[in-house]
Amino acid sequence: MSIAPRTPRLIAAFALSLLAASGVPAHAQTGAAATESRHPLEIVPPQGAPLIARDSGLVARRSVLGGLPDGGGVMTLDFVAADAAGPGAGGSVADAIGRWYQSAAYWLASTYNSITDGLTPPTPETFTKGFKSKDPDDFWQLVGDAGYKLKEIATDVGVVPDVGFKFRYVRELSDGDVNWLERKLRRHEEKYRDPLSMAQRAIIYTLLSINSSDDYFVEELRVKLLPLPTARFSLVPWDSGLSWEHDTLMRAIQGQQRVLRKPMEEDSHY
Amino acid sequence: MTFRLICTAIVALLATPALATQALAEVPAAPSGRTAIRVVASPLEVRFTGALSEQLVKKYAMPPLQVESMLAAPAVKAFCAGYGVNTPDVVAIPRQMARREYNQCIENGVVDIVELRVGFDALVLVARKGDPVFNMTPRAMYFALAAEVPTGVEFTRNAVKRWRDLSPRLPDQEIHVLGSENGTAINAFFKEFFMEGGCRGLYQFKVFYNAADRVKSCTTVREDGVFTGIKAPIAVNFKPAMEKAPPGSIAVVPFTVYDANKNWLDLLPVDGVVPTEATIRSDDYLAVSPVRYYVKRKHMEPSLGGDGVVKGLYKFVEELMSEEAIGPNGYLDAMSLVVDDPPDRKRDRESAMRLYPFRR
Repeated sequence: MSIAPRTPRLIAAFALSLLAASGVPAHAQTGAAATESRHPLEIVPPQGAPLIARDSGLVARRSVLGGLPDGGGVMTLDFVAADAAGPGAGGSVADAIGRWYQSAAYWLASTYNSITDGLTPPTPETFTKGFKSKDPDDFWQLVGDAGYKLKEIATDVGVVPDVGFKFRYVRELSDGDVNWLERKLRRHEEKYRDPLSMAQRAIIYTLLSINSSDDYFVEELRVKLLPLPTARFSLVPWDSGLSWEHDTLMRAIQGQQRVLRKPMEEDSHY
Repeated sequence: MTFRLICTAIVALLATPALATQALAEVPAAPSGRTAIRVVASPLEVRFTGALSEQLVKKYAMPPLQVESMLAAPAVKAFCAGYGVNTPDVVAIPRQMARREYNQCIENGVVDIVELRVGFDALVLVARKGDPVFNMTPRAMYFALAAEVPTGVEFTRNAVKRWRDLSPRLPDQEIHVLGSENGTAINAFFKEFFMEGGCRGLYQFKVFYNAADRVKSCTTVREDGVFTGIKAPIAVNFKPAMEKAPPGSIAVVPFTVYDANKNWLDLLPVDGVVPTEATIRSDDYLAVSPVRYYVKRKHMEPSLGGDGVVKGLYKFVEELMSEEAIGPNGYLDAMSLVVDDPPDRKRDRESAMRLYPFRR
């Protein structure tokens, strides 16, 4: 008997019951007034208090950890609630949260179902199959288009399983790449208006926004799905020192260049 | 006429306080201010700006616009250099201002920018009537025109001569493409949409970390006669160049140029989409360039939140966003600008008239 299709519903129900038990409405949990803006998920000043960003009905709490000016920092987006019909369309917050969880759980389950058929805990291998999707609108494709590559998958087994993905910045985008990706996101927005897609676009827009600044770039992106979807952006100054890995590589290249240059210099004596 | 204007202003001043405020706003700019609006525009936008200038002179007796033609990137750079009488008031470009450029503006204190969404232009592929019409893709264009193409993990000199060599779905004819010469805004667009777009996604390019190296490798066009550059202005030099070109040649031109020569040209679909006003407007067609004007609010009259650097800048906005200019039968529409849908035009007009700040 296949029980996998029920798993997302169970997760959604459990998460909803957790929220209901807390007795705190989603808006109260976020702690500040909503701001209306087209792309509100920009860099928050380090001294900024947690804010809610509302993008077409999506409510996210953003916060910045660490002192940004010199040494970088971490910015997080906690997706708290979403209304698929957009802002001002009515509907209770509980409905919005329910839809959000269903979507998130569906996203998770679609990956599970392709590999496992039961309560087998996910393994990194099972998830990597999900990344091979050829659908250009797939979230993983969008993250790749933004210049990031999957580096790590962390899975925890429990009543609420935890799944986290770590992406590293591997490719600088040209202006043409940014224009192309923005067009792709505009078309994505026309096609997919569900909360999950909104959250995905919010993550990509945030990457683009931060990376276009002259001061910082997102070196690492961590996306966690459960218990609450979260995107964590590790901001590093553009002019920061090289990492150990890059420094080693750089020294190796310089060493090779010296080796190659030597015979040429010796030849030039003749 | 000036005397009548002064009289009107005095009467207005005496009449109501509200009108008095308005009349004060019409007081000429400070002696240090300019009287003529300075616009930096990329070549195709120069035509639109010229038409707009004529209307401003005719309707409002304003001095003609001082228009400087330059490529989009230097134009934005000049616009974003700072604010004051020595800097341009307006920039007109065939694309949206990039984030980096916007950040540069902010750094230089150019903070209150108003974006005017005027309409669209597009880069289209055309062939002479009677020549084969086939579906083109950016990938095919890249493999046809790149100086070096990836073969396995290496890059080798591109020696492809016929379209059929690239794909059995393409016609069996020699590759010959005409396009705007190197260094022009149209050429930059062609490279971005067709060359860079064609190599995007190839794994040999995904390994490049540095964007500049990747773009250079993607967009360097071969110089063995397969591509012929048309000298600027393309609107003038396109027809003679196409007449000299061998049979079966295709050309990459702005939609406005096609529109002026459509009696003897056919359009080629790109990625299966034929460029029409509808597909350009809906962004279904790939190579669409939105025509944008950016205005410095700080250069407007003090009553509009500016420092009075130049007079008549709000009139400029009003005229450019009017139905007479960008409406379906407007004078810019007559110049083959693809105008937006009525609801979008209304929204863009309202946003411009209220001087909403542009943000990226």
